[in-house]
Amino acid sequence: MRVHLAILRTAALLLPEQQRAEWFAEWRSELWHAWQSPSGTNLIAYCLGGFKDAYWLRRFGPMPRSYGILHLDVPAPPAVTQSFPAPPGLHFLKSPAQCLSLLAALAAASVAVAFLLQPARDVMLASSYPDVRGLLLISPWGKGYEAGIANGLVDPYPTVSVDQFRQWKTSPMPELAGLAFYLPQVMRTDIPPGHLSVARTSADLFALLHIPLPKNGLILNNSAWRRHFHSDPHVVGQVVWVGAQKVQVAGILPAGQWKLPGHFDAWLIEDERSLTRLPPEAMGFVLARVTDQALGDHGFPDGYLNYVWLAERNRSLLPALLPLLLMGALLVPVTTSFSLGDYPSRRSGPRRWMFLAAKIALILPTTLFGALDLASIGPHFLPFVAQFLLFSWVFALRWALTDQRRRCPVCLRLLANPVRIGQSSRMLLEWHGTELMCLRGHGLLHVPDRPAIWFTHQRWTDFDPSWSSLFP
Amino acid sequence: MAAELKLSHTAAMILKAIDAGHVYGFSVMEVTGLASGTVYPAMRRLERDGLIRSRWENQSIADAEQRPLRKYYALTRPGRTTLESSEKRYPLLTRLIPEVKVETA
Repeated sequence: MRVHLAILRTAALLLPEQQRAEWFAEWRSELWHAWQSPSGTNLIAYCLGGFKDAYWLRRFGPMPRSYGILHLDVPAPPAVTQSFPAPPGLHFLKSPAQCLSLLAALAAASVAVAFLLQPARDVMLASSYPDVRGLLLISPWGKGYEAGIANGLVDPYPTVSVDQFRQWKTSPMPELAGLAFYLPQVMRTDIPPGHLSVARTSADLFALLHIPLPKNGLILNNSAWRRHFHSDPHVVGQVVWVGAQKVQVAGILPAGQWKLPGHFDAWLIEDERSLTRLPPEAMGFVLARVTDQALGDHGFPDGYLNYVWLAERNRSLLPALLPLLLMGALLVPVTTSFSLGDYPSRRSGPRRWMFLAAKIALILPTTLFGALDLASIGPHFLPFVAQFLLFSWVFALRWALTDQRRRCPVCLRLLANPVRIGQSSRMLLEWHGTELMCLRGHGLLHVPDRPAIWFTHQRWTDFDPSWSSLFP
Repeated sequence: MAAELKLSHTAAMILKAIDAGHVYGFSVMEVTGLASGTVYPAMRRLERDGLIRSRWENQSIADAEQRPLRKYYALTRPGRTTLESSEKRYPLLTRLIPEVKVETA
């Protein structure tokens, strides 16, 4: 019987509260008869019919008035109070604390996601390579355009063939102090799940980056070490199969140390002889270090190579995005007025401005890190990062101003009960617009429909204490 | 005018059942064989149109019989007129719904 009553109680929720008790009483009584009936009525099906009945009542009007006296605990109709109804829409933002809490939560989520996504984190945190000033990624002229432009969050394509690297290595440029090559490959291994994303590197790659790691063997990525070896510290020294060769795990690259293109589970350091056995047309990346003399004299020569300075690559997006924020702020007056209206109230003090500043301060990280989050999702989103940041920043600033204009200057809660005043056809005789009221009785806001010389901006009127009896 | 209403066969059956003495919802359901999801909304509609009216029985009767309070339904004058015209329209109605002794109090 409890299940059946629960079904009926659920169905009763479809009805307005005033009708619920009587409706439920009738159905409970009927259920008792159905329960007692010798005909073996399906009580579940019977109770489910209550939903149809409740729905009919909800749709086609109130329950007809019954004669007789029913002693039910029918809730009394709501008493007429002096309070005014809540403002429509965005109820959860009506108090300043709720508004700031929501904005703070959005900002925190945006920043947290940015820290969780590796590319965004790389942009936020400065390059950890010592002496990064002379490091650059190079590619042959005409092939490295993508490498040149995609120097932000997205990895460029490998553009240097093994054969080209060999040529550069045998006839070194005088401006370069060192050259290192790495080739991205997916290789079979006896480490579960059976294959790894591996960079086959020349022996001096980590030396060029000034990372103290051995010059042979297999270097594991920190996340791969955690994932595949459960952070076992004894994995260093173990011998594993990678491709067709047995190699010794020589070390683990600390988290966040790899800032070059590509995401790898491991780096297989090859000696000169192994590098010569690689297919000559296989494409990889070349890292170079420019001599101090070349840096000091005239910089790296342009004209026969494409190159990207590593220092620029790792800090390129944020400087590019920051001017967009300024541009967005300049665009806001195109979409809405900067004016917040005439507020003669002395009761508000600096709280209004502090609230506006807090909103903007929370919107800024939300939009900026939101753009970084979008860029980190994948290369396809990169072209839209600037547009996203610009439009979201303009929209957010516009919202902050509009929201500010709809708040009481004293308690900072959203104003309510908009009332239309006057007619636009009589604009020469009287003002027309909308009046909004503070539900705590602080005052009235007059918003003109069209600015006139005698009424350009919205105005605020303080209520004197005689109004207080109208407000709870 | 309610007398001019043309009822569906289902509504006419329910009206006839109430007239025959099946004066609460489950009783109407049993005698007509209709589902609860049909009978109760139809009775609300008939009541809204003024063909039947409802009243709660006295608490003392329900207490004496140790059962929940019942809500009884009865035909109004327009309801009776409508039933008469419906019986002409659906001649088998009288034979479908047997008369019972009215048990309201």
